[in-house]
Order: sequence, then structure tokens, then C-alpha cells
Amino acid sequence: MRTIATAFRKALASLRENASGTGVMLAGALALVASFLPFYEGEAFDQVAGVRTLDANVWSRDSLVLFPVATLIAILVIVAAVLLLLDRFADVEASVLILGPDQLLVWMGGFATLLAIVYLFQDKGDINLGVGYWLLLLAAAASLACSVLTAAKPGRTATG
Amino acid sequence: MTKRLTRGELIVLVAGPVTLLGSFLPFFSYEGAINVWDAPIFPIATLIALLAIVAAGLVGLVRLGGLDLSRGALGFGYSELLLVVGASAGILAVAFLFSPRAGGGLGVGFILLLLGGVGSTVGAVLVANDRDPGPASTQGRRGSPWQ
Repeated sequence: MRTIATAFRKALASLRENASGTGVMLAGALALVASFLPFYEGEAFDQVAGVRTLDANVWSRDSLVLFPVATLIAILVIVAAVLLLLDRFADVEASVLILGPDQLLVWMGGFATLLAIVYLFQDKGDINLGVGYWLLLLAAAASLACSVLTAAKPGRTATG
Repeated sequence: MTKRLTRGELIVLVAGPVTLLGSFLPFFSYEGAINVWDAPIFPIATLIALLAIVAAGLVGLVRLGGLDLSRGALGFGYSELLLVVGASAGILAVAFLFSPRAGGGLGVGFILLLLGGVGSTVGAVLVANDRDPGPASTQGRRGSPWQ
């Protein structure tokens, strides 16, 4: 029993120390779930079916700007989490050209957040943004914030 | 920063105006021809043009305007910023290539935006390759995000 308690305390301490990395991971999991929830909700007019209830997630091909454009938000946040998983469990450091792992994560979080924010300003007519959208926005913003916190740790990054 | 423009920088500089022009031409032929300033694709598709223009502006400000970005933040200097902005434009343009078009077709504006977005990416990659191995690749990583 004492061993379990010690292991639990160690895990909690590790989680606190690595809060920003954990945040990116949790954001990835949230984005995966959110990608299957309704991105748009409301009633849409279809020339064939007439008025119908729209319940489209980012994998749906019901709109010009859902798959694969809105899907990018989820993919970027999930890939950031996967890169951290690889780093943690496979000791694989991802880098692309001149971008180190920290910069990659900040870019993915930043691009996902920017993409999510522009959907707020889209003229959607009678359609509303659904719970899937709001969770994706939250996941992207959390991924960006945690990536920035990681990259901003003293002594981590140098300027380009 | 007073050297001649490199090939990559020239490509990024040309890609910006190409996307600006493309943004006013038909993007999709969907319920009539729409450009990226029209609903329902504004401001999502508009981002392609905006990002490519920002990339071109970055090259202009740094190489022609003398702006010093050598001391960037979070490991993002001139080349890194150019790469992420250019790549974002290219990825978004390619994503629209695979979006359903409700029976409509691609317009000339889309082709120009795709060319401009991919051009920004290619130009930024060339700039990154031209640069000496930089801090982001050699020093930017000083420990795991888990440490």
C-alpha cells in the first residue's frame, strides 16, 4: 500500500514538474475527442433534402470549409501531442529543417489556434458553432500556451 | 542583412503579390463564382493570402527595410518565422485542394493562391537551407519538454 502511495506521489510530482508537456498531451487528447463532436450545429437548406438539421464534425464533407481545413486544427494539436509522446517514450527528437522540437510545438499550437480563431469571424448564416468547435479552440489554445511555456523555460531556446 | 536577395527570398517576395491578386479572382465556382473575401470561405481561405503576404512583408522588412530579427523570441528568428508563416500558407492552400466543392470547380484565384502558398513554402525552405546551421537546430533544444 505504501509503495502504491509513493508511486502515486512520484507520479504527481513528475506531472507538476512537467506540467507544460502534460498540457500539450492533454490538449491532443481533447482535440481527438472534439474532432468527432459537432463543429457546426443548426438547420441548413439543401436543394435536394430541403431544410435539414446539420450536425457536422471536422471529418464531415458537408461544407466547403470543414474537411480537411477545420480538420487541420485537430491534426496539428494531435501531432504536437504525438511528438511529445515520441520524445517521452521513444526518445525521438523531432526537428524539421531549422525548427527544433520546441519551435515545432509552438508553430503547431499557434497555427491551430489562428485557424480556430478565424472560424469565429466566418459568416455562417443560420448555422452555429458547436461544442466540437469550442473544445477544439480550447485544445489549440492550451497546446499553444503550454508549448510557449516549455520553450520559454530559462536556457531552453536560442534565437534564430 | 545587406547582401543580395537569395533565390528563396525572391520566390517569397513574388508569392505575396501573386496571392493578393488571386484573392480577388474566383476561388470556387460555388453558387456563382466566389473569391476569398466572400462568405462562406472568408476569412478562412483568406488566410492563405494573408500569410503569404506576411511572409513577403517579412522578407521586405528584414532584407530591404533593415529590420533586425536576429534576436527573435522563443527561438524564432527571421528564417524560422519565414518558414512557419510560409509553410502555414502552403499547408492551408493544399488543404483546400482536397475540400469538397459541392459540385463546383476550382477557379483561377484558387490556382494563384495555391501557387503563391506553395511558393511561399518552397521559398522559405530554400531560405532555411541557405542559412548556416542555426541556433534552433543546434542549440534550440536544451532538454526534453519533460525535463
